[in-house]
Amino acid sequence: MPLRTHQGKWKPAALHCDLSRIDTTQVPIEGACQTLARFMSDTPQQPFRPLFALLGWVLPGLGQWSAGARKRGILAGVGVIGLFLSGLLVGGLDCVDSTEDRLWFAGQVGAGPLVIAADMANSYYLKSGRAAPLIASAVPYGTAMNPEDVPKISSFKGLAHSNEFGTLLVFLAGLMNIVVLLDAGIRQSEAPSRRAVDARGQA
Amino acid sequence: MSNSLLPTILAWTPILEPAPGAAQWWWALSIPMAFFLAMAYKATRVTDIADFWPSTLKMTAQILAAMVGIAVGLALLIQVLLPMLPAE
Repeated sequence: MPLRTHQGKWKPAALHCDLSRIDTTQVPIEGACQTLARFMSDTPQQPFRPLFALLGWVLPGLGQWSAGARKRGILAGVGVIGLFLSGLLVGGLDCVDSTEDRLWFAGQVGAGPLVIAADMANSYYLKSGRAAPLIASAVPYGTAMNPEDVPKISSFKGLAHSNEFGTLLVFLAGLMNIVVLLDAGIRQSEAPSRRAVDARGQA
Repeated sequence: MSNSLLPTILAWTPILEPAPGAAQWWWALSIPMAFFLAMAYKATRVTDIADFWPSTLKMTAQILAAMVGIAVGLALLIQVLLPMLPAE
């Protein structure tokens, strides 16, 4: 029976192919073995599972963890949360702002509820003046304004490179987490199967 | 570190306010940025997790080298090549 290709996909039954039944007049035996080896090394495509992607959004790396790839989940989570915390350390809470930096926030929110919590903390602690006194912001040149009407900003507001780099780091955390959560949707379990554990125990 | 920066760092409230000195050393922040970026990316890409750390360090170095290369290229363009063009 000549080997047939499966367009990059194979069914588990294909692994039980009996080499003695291969018609070597139609398929050279060397080529047949190579084809079979390629089938066996291919990973079957996992259908996308939205639940794991959603878990990956809730906490970076949780999607891989839940899918059974625990080490990958931890490493991916450390990468994304590392970017997020670096951004907050450099730029302060002000680098996550859903009202003043709306477009940046649209990317940042890919890192999940952590970013939403940071935005809420920004409003609660900085913009309200609870964490630091509010100071009058600069008035555009030539604008006549009553001093009491001048908008006030937190004295903890980030400026220049600190704010730019902090915003960028949290933004990158959001974008990278989208990559990570999409991977979580198709990630296969890397935990050893019960059969493999039993076989190792018998050996 | 200058003496004027030390009191600012001691008075710093992490997370709430921006890091003092980041405005002067902003370029150094590209190192943790490249490292964490490579970590998150390689966690999804390596087929064998044993290759994770070598791949991550390699990608970190590649990102930094590319950034330095682009910076040097742009500096040469702006500071050397463009001044050589005729004014009119």
